[in-house]
Amino acid sequence: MILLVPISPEVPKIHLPRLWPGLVFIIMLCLCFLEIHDTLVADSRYVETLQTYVIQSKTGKSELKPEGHQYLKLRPLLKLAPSSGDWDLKRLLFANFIHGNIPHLFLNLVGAFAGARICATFIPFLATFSIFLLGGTVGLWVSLMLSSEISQYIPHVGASAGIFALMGTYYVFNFKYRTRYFFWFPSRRAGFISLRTSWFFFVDVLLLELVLSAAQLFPSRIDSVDHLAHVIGFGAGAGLAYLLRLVMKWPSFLQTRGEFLYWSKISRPKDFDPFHSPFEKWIQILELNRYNDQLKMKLLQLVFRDSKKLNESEIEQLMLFISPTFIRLHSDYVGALVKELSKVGKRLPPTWLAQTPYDSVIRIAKEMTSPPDEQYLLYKFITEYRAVQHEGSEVDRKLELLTTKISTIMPGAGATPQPTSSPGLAENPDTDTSDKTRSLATENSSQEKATKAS
Amino acid sequence: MGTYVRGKLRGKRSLADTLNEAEEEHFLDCPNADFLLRAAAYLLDLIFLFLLFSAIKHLFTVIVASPFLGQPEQLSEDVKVLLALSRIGSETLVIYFYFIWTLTVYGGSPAKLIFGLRVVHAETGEKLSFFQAIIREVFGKTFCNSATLGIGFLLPLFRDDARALHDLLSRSLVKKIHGHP
Repeated sequence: MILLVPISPEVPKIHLPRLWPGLVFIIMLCLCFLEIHDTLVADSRYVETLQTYVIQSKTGKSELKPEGHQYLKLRPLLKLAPSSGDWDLKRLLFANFIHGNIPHLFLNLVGAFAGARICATFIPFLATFSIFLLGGTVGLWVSLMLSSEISQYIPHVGASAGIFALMGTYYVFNFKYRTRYFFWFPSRRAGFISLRTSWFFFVDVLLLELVLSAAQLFPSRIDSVDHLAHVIGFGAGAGLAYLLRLVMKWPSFLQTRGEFLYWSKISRPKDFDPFHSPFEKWIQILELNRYNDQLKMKLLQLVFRDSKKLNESEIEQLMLFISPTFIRLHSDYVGALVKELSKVGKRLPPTWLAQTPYDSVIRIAKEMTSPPDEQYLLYKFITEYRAVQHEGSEVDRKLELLTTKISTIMPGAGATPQPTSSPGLAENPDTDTSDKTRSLATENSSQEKATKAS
Repeated sequence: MGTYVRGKLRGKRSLADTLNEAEEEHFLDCPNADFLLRAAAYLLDLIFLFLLFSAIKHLFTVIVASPFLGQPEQLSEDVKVLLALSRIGSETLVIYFYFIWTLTVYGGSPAKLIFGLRVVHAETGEKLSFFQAIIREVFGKTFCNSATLGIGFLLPLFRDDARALHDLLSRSLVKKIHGHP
């Protein structure tokens, strides 16, 4: 987390999280720390004399005398914070705002600021605060119940369980999308990267924290960090966020709150068309957030279902969102789309073809190599792409070479469509794109009802 | 000097082979990755590797702390040696998969791929063979660059083709094939 800092979800500028939710959290935690500072000082003085109650067991481990437990029971911090032997709901809730010392506070301030800020793209502040409080409380409570410690009067405090709850929330809302990270490289060009949210969180948060919290269940502790509260807080936050999405009826293909608000305000037109109505609506939402790949895929599924209904301007609108990055990440979808449009005799927009880089075209072409009886569509696509290139340019030269090579493999390619499979072409059993098209179409038919309902 | 003929192209070519070949030829035409971008990718690789190593470290800490092996202080020498060897083995495997396997299969380490960089054979544009990958990553990066006190890493700053010492040794080039995400 420190080496690879998540800045925001990958969204356009208008959806970027604001600063103030994070600042409110910082102020709140600082005020609480100042308020209980006297108690903390008194508590640390009280605990200093604890050494007199520590004895060595036969196995060489440190243990507390029975009087030591009684002594700890009366420590000042337990009036505000819960421990496994002495807790109530009020102290459990308040523990989320208590920090034992300044370094502990500082680390959690950074986490709370980042967590509250990053969630602001998806949910209102009140929801963020509720998830922080509830998720954190559940994390602390489970940790109190399960941890094995030297005494049952060790208080569990800190905002970290709540911060992990906010991370769980972010995970639920942005799981299928990407996150922008900063990694301390001093360059505006190279210091930022976008990664799939699921990749990084898996390594950094879930794996490490799960491993460390497992250690917390054993009698010999590794450190004094409450990893169990982190993991449970993460799970509780994710659960609460999922529940919130269900209550709000948040569709899985919308990324930001801005998109959701826009989507929920669009009313169903009187002359609802199962193809054009959702198509227009989704294009409008994509204009709000051009990074929403899930919506692009949904749109492509819609097109597969009824590709004949698309007119030229709609194809142009659609292809505007098929960027090189999208092609790189979802080349199977784009390959199937190009094939489908070619099959029904629709022309690809020359402006899109002219803007698409050569390597993206090769990626798409690779997806069109099978089944063999549809390979003529690949040739057609390459030819269309070549037609929009400047004659004699570098790309034109490469395409000329490529089409010549393809012609030698596919005799008669480009002359006429080949409706039946040719035995000479069946030599390359690559990934079957027709299967993907079929699966997309099946997926679509199941989503048809949902589309109509929307 | 003879003409280089690719082994896989000697037989009957499929459409996918032709497209792969076109892609490889295209890679050769792409601009060479500059020093800044390569350094950023290397730093990111180190961060990823650190995360993986710390996961291994914590995993072994938990194994030692778990009650299945008894008290950590009372572990026998044999168990300690076994644990240490297992840890070294896991870390070696991680390094192998991270740097060599990804290089031969995907054409670059994870960070390089994220940055849109591709390590290719300097003459053919193909992915590196296992032998070339070993020369590049183990012999070139580790031994030769250490022997030159890291100057080998700085060569891209002074060369037009932006090749480092390990690139020259393994006859490879680092190309920027698309804008990083």
